[in-house]
Amino acid sequence: MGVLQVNNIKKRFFRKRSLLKKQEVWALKGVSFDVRKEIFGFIGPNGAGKTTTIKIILNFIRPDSGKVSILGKSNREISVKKHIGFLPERPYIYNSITGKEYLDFCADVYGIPYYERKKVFLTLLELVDLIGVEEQPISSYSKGMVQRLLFAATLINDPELLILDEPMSGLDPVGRNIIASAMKDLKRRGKAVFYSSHIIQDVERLSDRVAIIVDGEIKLLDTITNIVQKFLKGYVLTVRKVGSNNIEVFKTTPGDFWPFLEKLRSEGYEIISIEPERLSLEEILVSYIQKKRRAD
Amino acid sequence: MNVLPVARLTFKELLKEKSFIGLLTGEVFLLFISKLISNVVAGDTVKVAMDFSLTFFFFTVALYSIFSSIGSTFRDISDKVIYLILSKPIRREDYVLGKFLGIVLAVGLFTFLSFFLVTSGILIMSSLAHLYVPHIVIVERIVVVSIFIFFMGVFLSAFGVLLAVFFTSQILAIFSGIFLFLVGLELSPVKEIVTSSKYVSPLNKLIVQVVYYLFPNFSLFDIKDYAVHLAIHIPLTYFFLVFVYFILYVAAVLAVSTFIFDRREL
Repeated sequence: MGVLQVNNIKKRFFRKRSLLKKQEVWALKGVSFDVRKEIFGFIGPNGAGKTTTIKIILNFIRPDSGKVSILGKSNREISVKKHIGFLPERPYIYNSITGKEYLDFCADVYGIPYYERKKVFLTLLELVDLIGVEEQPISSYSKGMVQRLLFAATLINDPELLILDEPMSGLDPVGRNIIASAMKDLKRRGKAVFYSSHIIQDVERLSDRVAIIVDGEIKLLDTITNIVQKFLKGYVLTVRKVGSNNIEVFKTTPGDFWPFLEKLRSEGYEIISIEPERLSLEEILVSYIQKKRRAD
Repeated sequence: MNVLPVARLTFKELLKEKSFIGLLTGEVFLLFISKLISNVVAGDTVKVAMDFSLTFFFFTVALYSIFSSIGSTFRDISDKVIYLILSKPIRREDYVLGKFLGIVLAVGLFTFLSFFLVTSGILIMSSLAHLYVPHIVIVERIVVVSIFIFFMGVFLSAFGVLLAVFFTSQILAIFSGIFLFLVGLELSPVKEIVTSSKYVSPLNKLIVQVVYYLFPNFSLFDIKDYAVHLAIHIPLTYFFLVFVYFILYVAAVLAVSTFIFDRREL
């Protein structure tokens, strides 16, 4: 059973065309997926429905149809939120309070006793490299520091499911690395991480499975390994004639691979290397977007 | 129930806002203005100064209540702080109640500090006046006036939360809050004029009476004359009835706010 199950959710909005006319726009057209104890990347172009899906999962908005369950319970049950951590896109918290005051708020919500807080806060602040600034007002933090603080706060309840909306955007490489390491650590500890991102390289590097959403529909859902194999363009063969020092490079499609190999052998070539030529996740995503544009 | 963490966070946020100190500083300035006005207006200078000081006190608390309640709640929604709060095990009704409670605490502290400033100002002004003996009764009566001003602030804050969850524009919500307050303040005299006039039709009289009983009546909380004129006595039943009105109305406004917020898409 998945930690998070999203079943056929549909959501429509009404866009104002004129004073009286409204246009119906389907933001989600039946989105389904499940997240297990893994790192699950959710990618798509702007306006594809990523944030709408996340808002529905967290019950900030209600779907027109479909169901979401978290740890086997409806997402509308307040008790499931005890096991969730969430970081919104470009997060913001009151500038006037200190980092510790925000962590205290989170500790209050989850009922963490006062005598345990110092230890818990220290662990979290150490994780995001913010030790020593917790007593300063958030107004003195940089954008990245705020994001790291709020990320640390999402871990205060040791969540079973962590939902992150664009967690890497606006972060420097150090900040990205901190969050990536924390995500991997959570997965190692048997937790589920569901996150959306524009930084495809990070998704490719971190995720076990990926869903591509375009125009409110899931176009592809698979493991990174399977996706890359599915989108194999061909092979690059580096060869030379026996006894010669001249190296030659050939490209072949997957269908022609074996006959081409036989041809090379019969012509007296020896193979130095064979490398698969794959579409990157980014190219795959772009191909879906282009397909959609052509269809429009 | 996770009302208290939201209340604490709201209270901390509001105390550190510039408007808190800014309006209190403004109040000190208004005390000086009251003293200056009392010197140029005919009559008992201390009473005139008290009248103006308490009026400024009333309006400053009203302004603080409108700005803090609408500003804080609206900021939560527009700046996405609400996502950080509601992704935790906090119900929407807990959020509304917690927000309101935090605002009430801030309004309470603001009223207390204002009371301290205004009472000190009035005592200094009365001690400076010739042949005027500051009496403890004045302080006692200012305490009663301050409690009523606090109730008015809480009443307005409840409306502030309602307007913030109802409107999608902060400016519209603030203007509506100010409009609601000013109309609610002038309701009693309008009703008196209309009902006693022979030129107003019975239907219009009825409409005004219906509006009078439904619309929030902020003038009920304006009892500054009680402190200024020691001859005035207000029966205990008035205090009791205003308190019941206040409790029932605030409960109803919060129920409506929760109802709206529970259905709002964030």
